[in-house]
Amino acid sequence: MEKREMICINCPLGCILSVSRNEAGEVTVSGNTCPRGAEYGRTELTAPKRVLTSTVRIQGEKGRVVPVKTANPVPKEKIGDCMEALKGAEARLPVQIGDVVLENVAGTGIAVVATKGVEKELIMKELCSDIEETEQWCSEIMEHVRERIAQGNTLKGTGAYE
Amino acid sequence: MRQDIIIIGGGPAGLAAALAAKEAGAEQILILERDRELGGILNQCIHNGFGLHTFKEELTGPEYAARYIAKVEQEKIPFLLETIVIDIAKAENGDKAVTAMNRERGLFTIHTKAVILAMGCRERPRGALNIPGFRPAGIYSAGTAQRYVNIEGRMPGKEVVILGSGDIGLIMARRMTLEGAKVKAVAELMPYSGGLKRNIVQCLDDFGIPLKLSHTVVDIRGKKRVEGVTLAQVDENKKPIAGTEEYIPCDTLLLSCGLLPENELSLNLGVSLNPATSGPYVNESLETNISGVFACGNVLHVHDLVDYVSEEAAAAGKYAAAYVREAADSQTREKTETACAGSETQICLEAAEGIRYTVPSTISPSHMEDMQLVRFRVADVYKEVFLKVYFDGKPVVSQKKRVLAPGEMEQLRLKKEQLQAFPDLKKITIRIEKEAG
Amino acid sequence: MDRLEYDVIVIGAGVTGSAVARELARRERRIAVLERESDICEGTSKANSGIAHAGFDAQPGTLKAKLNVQGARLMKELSEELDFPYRQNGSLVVSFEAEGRERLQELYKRGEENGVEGLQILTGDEARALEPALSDEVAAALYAPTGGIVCPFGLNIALAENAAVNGVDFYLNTAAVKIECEQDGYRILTKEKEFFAPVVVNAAGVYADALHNMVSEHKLHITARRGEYCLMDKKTGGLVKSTIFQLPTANGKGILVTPTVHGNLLAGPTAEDIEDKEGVNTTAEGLARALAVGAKSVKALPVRQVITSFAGLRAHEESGDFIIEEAQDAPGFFDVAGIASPGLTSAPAVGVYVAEMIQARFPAPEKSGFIGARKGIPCVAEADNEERQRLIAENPAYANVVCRCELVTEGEILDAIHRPLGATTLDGVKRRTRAGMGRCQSGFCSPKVVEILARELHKDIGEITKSGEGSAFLTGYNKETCM
Repeated sequence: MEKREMICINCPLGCILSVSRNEAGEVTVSGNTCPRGAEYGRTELTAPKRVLTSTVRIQGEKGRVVPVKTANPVPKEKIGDCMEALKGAEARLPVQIGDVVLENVAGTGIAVVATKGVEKELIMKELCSDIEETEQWCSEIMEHVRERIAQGNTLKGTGAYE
Repeated sequence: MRQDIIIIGGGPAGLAAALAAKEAGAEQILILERDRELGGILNQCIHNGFGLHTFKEELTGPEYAARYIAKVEQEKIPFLLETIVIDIAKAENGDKAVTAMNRERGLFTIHTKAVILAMGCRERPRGALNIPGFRPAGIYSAGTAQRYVNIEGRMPGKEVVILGSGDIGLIMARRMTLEGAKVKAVAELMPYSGGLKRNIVQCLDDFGIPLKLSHTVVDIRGKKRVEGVTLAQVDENKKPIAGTEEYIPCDTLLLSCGLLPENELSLNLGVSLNPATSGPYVNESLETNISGVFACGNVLHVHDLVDYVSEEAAAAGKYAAAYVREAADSQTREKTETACAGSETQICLEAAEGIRYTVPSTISPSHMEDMQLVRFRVADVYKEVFLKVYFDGKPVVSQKKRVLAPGEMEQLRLKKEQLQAFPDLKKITIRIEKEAG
Repeated sequence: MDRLEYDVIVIGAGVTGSAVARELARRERRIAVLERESDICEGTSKANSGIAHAGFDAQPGTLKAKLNVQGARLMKELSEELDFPYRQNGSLVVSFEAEGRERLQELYKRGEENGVEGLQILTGDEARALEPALSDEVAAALYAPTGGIVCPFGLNIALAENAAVNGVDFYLNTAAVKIECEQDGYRILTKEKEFFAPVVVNAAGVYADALHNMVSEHKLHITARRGEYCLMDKKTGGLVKSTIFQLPTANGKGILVTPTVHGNLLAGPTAEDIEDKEGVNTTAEGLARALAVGAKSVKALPVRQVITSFAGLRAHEESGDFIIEEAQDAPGFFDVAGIASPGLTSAPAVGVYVAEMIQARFPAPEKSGFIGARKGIPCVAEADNEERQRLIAENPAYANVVCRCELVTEGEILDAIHRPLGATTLDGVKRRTRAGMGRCQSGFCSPKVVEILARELHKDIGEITKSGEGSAFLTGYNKETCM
């Protein structure tokens, strides 16, 4: 007989659930006020899972990281192993949202994917995205942008982020 | 240069406002963002749980932001980055003059018909909490630590105590634990947590981190770097109880003790603020007391779910677009100017017993839509109570609530037809009562 | 170990040491300043009321009285010459009961004897006409129009920078561990270096007794007297125009309420003698007291607008006066000790006084080409738009706002780092530019300032500290240890 108390997280009510499993493996939930609470209690006792989020380093870019997550929830007890696996993982530029950074993390069968796009250099996109049609409101900026783009095609900040 | 709408801030509020304004037909829209990229604080909120309401799936902060950013780019809404607005002033013809600076363009002023305030909020610093002790390195607001860990990939400490159980503090307890730090305790001054229930379970309980309710930090030791903090239990007046002190050695103290809307620009412009929220008073159109100046997101009142920020900001964008449209017609325009003063054409919303505030603070029936959303927070934890709404003292709504907590924003829908049934309605009162009555 | 020889070595780069060094630099001398901390202005000079006292407090005939009044007179001109924030805002000493009038009268007389100009005793109503926020309990007040407020960091840094420009060598992170008398001078041992000079100026603040006692049999005893303060948001700085004192007590001038030169409101200090000479920790009782006593002076002290609190240590010497003299049994060893309040105000006069004293005993020829003037870091927050445009045209970094609360730009931070005696720490940048001094207390800007410091000093961000060794911000990388 296994028994645990837990707080249901489905709604602000925060019911205190009492979840138990008998020798036959049958799970009973009490203290819940709705079916979602029962379902939550059952899963939390038998196979709790979490989506893990973290960062991984970017290959060849000292001091830069990209945020990642497990594409699906992983078993809670595997979280430590997943973090250990992420230690050595590296993403490659350019990174797109959803890029797989690590397959089958810690043997869970679940991939770790990037949650943010990262370019090689920080591009001040607002100025160079639509050169052709942007914008009568600021012709001076556009001239400056064209100059900068002619020089090197990217617009980094003035020395700050090189 | 003259814009229809300038949006100050390119975080979740600013992005959603811009898209909605564009959709509602506004042409000249410009977003001014002070950071290096759009997305605001979402960029450092790499945990998941965003977007359940909006996209029906759980996204991380950067993913949620990316969806809006992609739409803004698709709609070709112009934005300037690393651009800080230093002043908003009233200009001729009801225009506003927005003065900003950036590297590329220096100091410049742009005139606009409408402004949407979407500057977000900041964290309450140590000084505001009057925590005594030394002032060494190792004391961070939870958001600053979040930036180091999630953006820079660097650890601001190894052994951590967190004061305040706001959501960012809870999230950082998990993040720092996962990344190798030992989080020794989370202390909360109040007898209840200010964070979402799921964060307490998934960020603290999952990792066995103790949550010490009714506790605070009464001393910080360490001359150069934090060496430890002393926690003590507090009484019902939030005063430390002598003899309950517990010294915890640690190298880091994170503070997650509340968020404050950043309204310095608004104040200079003459926007009046609600002391309960530190955000502007707004009417049903999310318009402040200054005609043509709208507010949404955390600069208006601190939200706990980004989905609600997006929803509110979209409404502000839509109303601002309508304002720009109407401003072309001077007759309707004048009406808008006077409608903001809280006059005969406006109904006042009163936050009574148990309700800290409401957004909006006034409703003008002639401007309201078929359904008006009213958001509010309660002042304490209430169980098995009734949320009551009175129209000029007459009970109109009574909703049974199992539990209401200050950490979770509540909302209420008022139908236009309900208001129309009371033609001379002056005041709508919202309060919490024990009896169904 | 290298032996570095100088004509004069000043120990301590606080406001006193820096003022002395600058005055000494007017003559042909090789001068060094040794500072134990990682930056100038790290001790008593950084945590005080920031007041330029009019000079009615000190007993007539004391050094305190003389140097206070002289310092106050020098301050305005010096603030223009060295470009640091100073404003003559006037001060009021208030008394709450009619009997207090006698004690005000006493202060008035003392002030006259000390040579303070324009003193006036006001009734409560007259005082309230001047300062409408004064408490209704105020029965009478002494008004001193020559009282002022000064940026303590600004004054200290300006003096030190200007000394450095005039050839004074500053050695930071260089604590004098041991001082030995040699023939014709003193050997000063530090952790890494050895110094020698015939003349030593002991301006070591709360540690001046320890240094003095290494060379003299006539022992000094300095007690650290802690003062705790609460600083309030800039929204509140307009509550009072002048500095509001209460009647002085045995331990000092009591708790004041004053605007700062930057427009914040300050309440404090408490006065408590403590053992620990580095005990700059605040206490719950102290902060509560600073606010509670301060609240008596005015109608509504905005205690909910406190953005930070801090404590400073006054170097209190038993005699109660400044000790500025050549040690009796140690020729060439000049003490500038016991510089408690009004030390900040007196600093410019102390500099002149000590330089004259040394010149009389160890004459040096006048130096040609002394550069008296110094231009401070531009302040974008206070500049008008035309000036801002000009700065941005000079360097676009002046348009990149790093600290949004105080509107401090990257350009100003670059200046702070690259000037003589430039900032190497976050606190150093803060004291020079105000980045991080605003209402969010560096929550948003500290990572950015750390990044700029690292970039400009060619370091990793992990090496950047708050205030020198042992105060790093970061402890490592993600995932270095397992959960």
